[in-house]
Formats: sequence, structure tokens, C-alpha cells
Amino acid sequence: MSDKKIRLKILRQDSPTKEKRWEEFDVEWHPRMNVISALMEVQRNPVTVDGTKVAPVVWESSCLEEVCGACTMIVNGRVRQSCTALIDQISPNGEPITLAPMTKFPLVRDLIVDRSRMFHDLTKVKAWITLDGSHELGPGPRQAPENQEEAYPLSRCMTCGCCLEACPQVNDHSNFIGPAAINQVRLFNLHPSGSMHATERLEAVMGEGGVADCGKAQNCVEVCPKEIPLVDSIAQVSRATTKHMLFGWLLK
Amino acid sequence: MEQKAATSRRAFLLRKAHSLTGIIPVGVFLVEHLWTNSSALGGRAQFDHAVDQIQKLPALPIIEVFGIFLPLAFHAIYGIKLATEARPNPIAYVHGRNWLYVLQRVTGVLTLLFLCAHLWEFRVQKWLFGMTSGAFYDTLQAHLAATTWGLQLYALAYVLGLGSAVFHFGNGIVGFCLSWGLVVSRRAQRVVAWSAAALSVGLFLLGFSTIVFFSTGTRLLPTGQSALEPPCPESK
Repeated sequence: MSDKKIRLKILRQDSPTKEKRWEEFDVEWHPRMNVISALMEVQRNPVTVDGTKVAPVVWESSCLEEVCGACTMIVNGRVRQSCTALIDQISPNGEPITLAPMTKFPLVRDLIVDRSRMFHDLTKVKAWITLDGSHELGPGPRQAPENQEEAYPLSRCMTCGCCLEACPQVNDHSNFIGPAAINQVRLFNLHPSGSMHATERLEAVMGEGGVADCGKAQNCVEVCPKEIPLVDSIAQVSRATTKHMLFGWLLK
Repeated sequence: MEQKAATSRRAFLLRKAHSLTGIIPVGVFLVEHLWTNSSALGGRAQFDHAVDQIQKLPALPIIEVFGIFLPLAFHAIYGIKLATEARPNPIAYVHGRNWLYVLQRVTGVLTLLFLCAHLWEFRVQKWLFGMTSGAFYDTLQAHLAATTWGLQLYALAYVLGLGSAVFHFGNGIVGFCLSWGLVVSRRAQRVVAWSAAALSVGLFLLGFSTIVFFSTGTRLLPTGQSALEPPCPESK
């Protein structure tokens, strides 16, 4: 074992009403360590660099393979999943690593935020396919391979919140729904069965805080860990909503 | 239910209108304005002729108020509201497009400040203090050639105002195309972005050579007309 140490600088807060504070911890380096395993070290021995014993730092994580989005936080000033933030990559020469909770969601404690607004946004845009019925509906319409190819990358969204965190238009002065939910509008309107409710989804993002609030900063597509073409989705939904605005009232 | 949907669509329609007014009529006016002014490069007679042609347009006050001033005022006021809602983060997320997002808001405000000064300099003087359109050329020349503390501050402010306006217009074209869904694919976005950038640079050079001509007398762009002031083609 080497005696190499990793310094973690963590922005902590005991509850939404308490003061924020930075605390620093030194943890022992292990091969192939990631931010989560470093946080586990802190949990085992929650003593700061100046020797004070403190309450262990809390965080959220689940899959540990960048498909659930639970461990999303701000690592060295940039939002990402902490499970794939490998220590040797983000701190190759033992540089201190800063960890902070996302800022666009209500804080729960330390590195945990409440992302339920994203779930609420999914319900707003009806990000599902209505299949319930009391009788046999038969097989659904077939999906063209071309359509599948367009839809697959969009379907990889894990609702992690990176795109909302990096978006300058998502903040406490606006109620912009953000790129993730708009991408779901495109995804479900592409689907042969989902498109049966296309107008409802478009109208959901034509209200206050809808797709028109996009500021074209395009940070979303830069930070998306699943490399979803979010800007193209926003453009696609903008096109569909523009058409609906201009011609929808002429048709019915 | 109908009523509720209608009220909540307000923000959507205002955003669309804001995007559209930036191109038509404000952007179109910007191009026309820079084009007309560049006629000064062909000499005073050409400039006065171009100004005169505009003054002779039928229903000019109506065009000016409803075609330019009101859409411009809406674009400016709603634009300031939008700018105050932004929380830029270009230091944490260093991406070209993110910087353009910040610059779009900064140049919007700078252009508005320049425009207020510019309107005071000519428009208000003409409306309220009896300046005639024939005096535009001399006033421009006097202001742009003036030096304050050894610097041509007027001319510098004009270059900054021009730069802000053409950047805001060029980047605004890209925003408009995305907002109205005219371009969707990544490739189309790139084509529009580079075309808009080329248009911005072209407009900047056109305006810049006009400013340089008024402030120093140097012609950066070749003109068909000689500097020897041929008579204005006024024969009808």
C-alpha cells in the first residue's frame, strides 16, 4: 500500500435551512478509486484534515455504472456522475477534488438534492405511451428502423439533471422546464403509438417555461453523459410547436 | 379550460415575437441602414441623395413608427426582461456557444445604449430641434472626426455600437432559426451559424468603412463613383 493521500474538499449543509460550509478530508489512495469509493472512505473515518470528528458526509448513489443518475454532483466545478469520476483521471497528480451538490434542485443534505421536479416534468409532458385498456388492443403499429435509430439515442436519458444544472436558463428566476423533458416530447412523439398524443405533449411545452425559453447556450449537449443530441431535440420540438402555433388553429 | 390554455401561451408567443421582430423588421432595417449610410463612400451628393430618397417615401412616419420604432421598442424591452432572467455560467462551462449566449445578452444591452445615444444625436434633433436631413452628413463628419483627449471617442463608440449590433443580429439569426424550427439537424445548424457569421463580418466591414470615411476621410471600400462629386442623378 502506498501512503498517497487524496484530498476531498466538500461543500456541506446539514439541512436546507442551515449554513453552508466547506470541509476537507484526506483519504488513502487505492488503485482504480472513484469519487464514490473516496466518499466511502470519508464515511468510515469522518475526520477532517484539522482532526475534528464530524458527522459523515451523505450522498446518493446506486448503479455505479453511469446509468441511474443518482450520484450526479458537481465535481471540480462541473456537473457529472461521481461514480465515473475516476480519481486517477480527475486528480492525476494528487490535486484536491472539490465536491458540491447540484444548485438547481432543492438541497436535502450535503451532496443530496431532491430531483423530483424532473419526475414532475415528465408527467407534465406525458412521457409515456398510453396502453391501458380493458380489452385486447392487438399488436401496436410497427416502428420503421429509421425511426428506431433516431429514437434510441434519445431514450438513453436517465433523468440525472446534468442538463438542467448546466443550463443558464434554468434558475430560480425562470420556470424553464429544461432540455430533458423536451427531449422526451421528441422521443414519445416519434413513437408510432406515442404519436397518438403528440398534440398534448406539444401543448404542454407551449405554456409558461416551455420550449421557447431555451437560450441556445447549448451547455446541455456538452454536459450530457449519455451524449443525447439535446439541442437537436429542442430544435425539433421548436419546429413542431411553431407549426402547431401557426397552423394548428387552421385545422381544427 | 380554453381560456386557461390561452393565457398560459402568452410567454411562448412573446418569445416567438421577440425572436421574429429581431429579424423582421429590426434586422432588415439594420442592413438597410448600413447600406444607405455606406453611400457616403461615393461622396456627399450620393449620401444626400440616398437620404433624400428615404425622406420621399410615402407614409414615412407610419413606416418609422409602426414598422421600426414600435417593434424595436418591444424587442428591446422584452429583451431586457429576458436578459435579467439569465444566469450565465461561462466560466464553469467553457463552451463557444455558452460564450455566445453571454455575448448575445451583453451586445443587446450595448446596442440599446448606443441606439439611445444615436437616436438622440439625429432623430430627436430632427423631430424636436429642427435639424434637417441635409445636415446629417456635416453632423456625422463633425462628430466622428472630433477628438476628445486626443482620442476619437465618438468614432470608437460608433465602432463598438456597430460591432455590438451586427454581432447581436448575426447570432440572433441563428437563435431565430432554432427558435422557429427552421433548422433542426446539427449540420443545418452549422451551415446557418457560419453563414450568419459571414453576414455579420460583411455588415461590420460595410459599417466600419463608413465610420472610417467620416472620421478620417479614407475610403476602405472601392466605390463606383469618384470622389469628385458627380451630380446627383435626380433627373426624372
